[in-house]
Amino acid sequence: MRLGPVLEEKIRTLMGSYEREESALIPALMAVQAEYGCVDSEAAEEVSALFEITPERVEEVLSFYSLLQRSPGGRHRILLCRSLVCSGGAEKILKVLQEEYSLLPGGTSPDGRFSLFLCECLGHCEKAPAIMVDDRVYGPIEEGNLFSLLEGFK
Amino acid sequence: MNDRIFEPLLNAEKGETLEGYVRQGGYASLRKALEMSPGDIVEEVKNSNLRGRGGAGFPTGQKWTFLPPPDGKARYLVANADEGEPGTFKDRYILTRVPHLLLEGMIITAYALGLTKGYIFLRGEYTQGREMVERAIAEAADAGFLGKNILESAFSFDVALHSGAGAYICGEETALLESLEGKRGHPRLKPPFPASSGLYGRPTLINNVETLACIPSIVLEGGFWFASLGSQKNGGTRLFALSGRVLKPGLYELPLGTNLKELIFTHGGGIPKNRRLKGVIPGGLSAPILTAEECDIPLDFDSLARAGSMLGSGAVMVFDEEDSILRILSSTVEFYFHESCGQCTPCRDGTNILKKLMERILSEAGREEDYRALVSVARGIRGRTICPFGDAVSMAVEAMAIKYEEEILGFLGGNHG
Repeated sequence: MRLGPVLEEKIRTLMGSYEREESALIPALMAVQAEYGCVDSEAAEEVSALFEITPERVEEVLSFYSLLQRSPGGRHRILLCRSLVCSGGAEKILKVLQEEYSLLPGGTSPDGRFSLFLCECLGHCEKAPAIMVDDRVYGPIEEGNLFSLLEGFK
Repeated sequence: MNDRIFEPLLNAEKGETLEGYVRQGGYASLRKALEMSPGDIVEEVKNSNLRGRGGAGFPTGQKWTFLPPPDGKARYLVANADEGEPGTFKDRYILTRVPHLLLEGMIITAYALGLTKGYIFLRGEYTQGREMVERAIAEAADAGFLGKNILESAFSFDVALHSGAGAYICGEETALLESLEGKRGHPRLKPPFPASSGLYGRPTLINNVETLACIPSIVLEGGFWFASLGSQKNGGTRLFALSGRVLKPGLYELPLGTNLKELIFTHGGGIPKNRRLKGVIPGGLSAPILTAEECDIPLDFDSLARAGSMLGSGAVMVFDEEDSILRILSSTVEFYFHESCGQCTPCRDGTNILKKLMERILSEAGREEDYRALVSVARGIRGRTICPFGDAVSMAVEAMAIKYEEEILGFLGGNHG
């Protein structure tokens, strides 16, 4: 995917907002992902050209941070918290997601609606078990409210 | 005088807006601070016995004095809002409900130490916090609390929000700085410490969100007042994030030194269905677990350190008799395996071996040797890594394995489930 002039401009603005441009690398990659759902190798290379750094430098960062994705997933991203307080409930949620939505960790549902990732503590332990769908966290999740929650995402 | 710092602010109507915050007395402390000498503010913070709320519990006033005197060049303040320690959600409440309290704390801190620019390093998953903090920064700038010549004084300071992209290790302050410089979050070898060589090689102070949010009340009411709220050498109240097997999980502001049982049974409503307490992790996942017998203990940094654990991030996770130690241990091992940054061999390979041993312990093939190996590998990581992550894995895993040895060996003996 090509960045295009709007995204390029946005990245240049980010670069200008730090005292050193490279500080904007991670925010820039997040901006690409917000637009396209992932950062593929073509986009990564264009980002490296904008920053005047090697593509390997970008790759190094892309492969380190868990929120950055390199391939497009479903229309909505589900992060299922599997850390200690959520872990018991997460197993049950995982089972429902597998059975009802054919979702496996790291995979995408056949209808392209959801991608599922296991993640560590979402910082909502008082609402365990918690899940994040796109940019909001929900909890406590049980079978009943899981369906009604996910039905809201088309 | 009120003996709670956060409670009224967190529950105030529209407390997340500038208007709501000012209605609660917000930014009065900044006005007072700007009429004080920077040295007097540092003195108040020292008197307050405030200790770092991120996890290490280091005296904040002392940490502040590690910065060299201003030399006219850039010096940075970073608010560590990379809250990721399992069980911890206190900073989220500050960020979403009273973001101006953090900003006011940052501005006063910057004035006291001659810092020129502030960053809030926010974990990427806290999208709601990002919206609130971004709006608060804009509001504060409009009102003259941020920017050039703050409140018509000679002091200028700006704050920018920086969102992370998902990595627990970035809560470690030098990993955070690497990430803020656009690199992988690999902790730096210390010394030099960030106070002398931090962001872009310049003097940098990194404080946790809750720590910075304590500063306005210390300046307004005095360091000794703040100290009097807590216990000896443990000034102030603390935001305890209570979760797990309690009837009322949530955030509780209590004086440092409050008994752990009081938190669980009085404030938290006790354990559902009167089941038996099994154990408590008192300060985030990295704090070694306490057995039910060890839970009659004051929640302060020193008491927990004496008990071989730590107050850490103030995240209290409660387990009862229905929680299997195997699940607790396995979730813990998975966490550290997933979040090890991979820089140091003992930690990278050690967490991988722990994960494999744990998988075998959970399988039919598990034997006592695997349990012994787990304890030995956990111990072997300690003291052999660049950052405290290795020690955290080591101590957390060892405590779970040793304190619940009987249950684990019983499971291995074939009493599965």
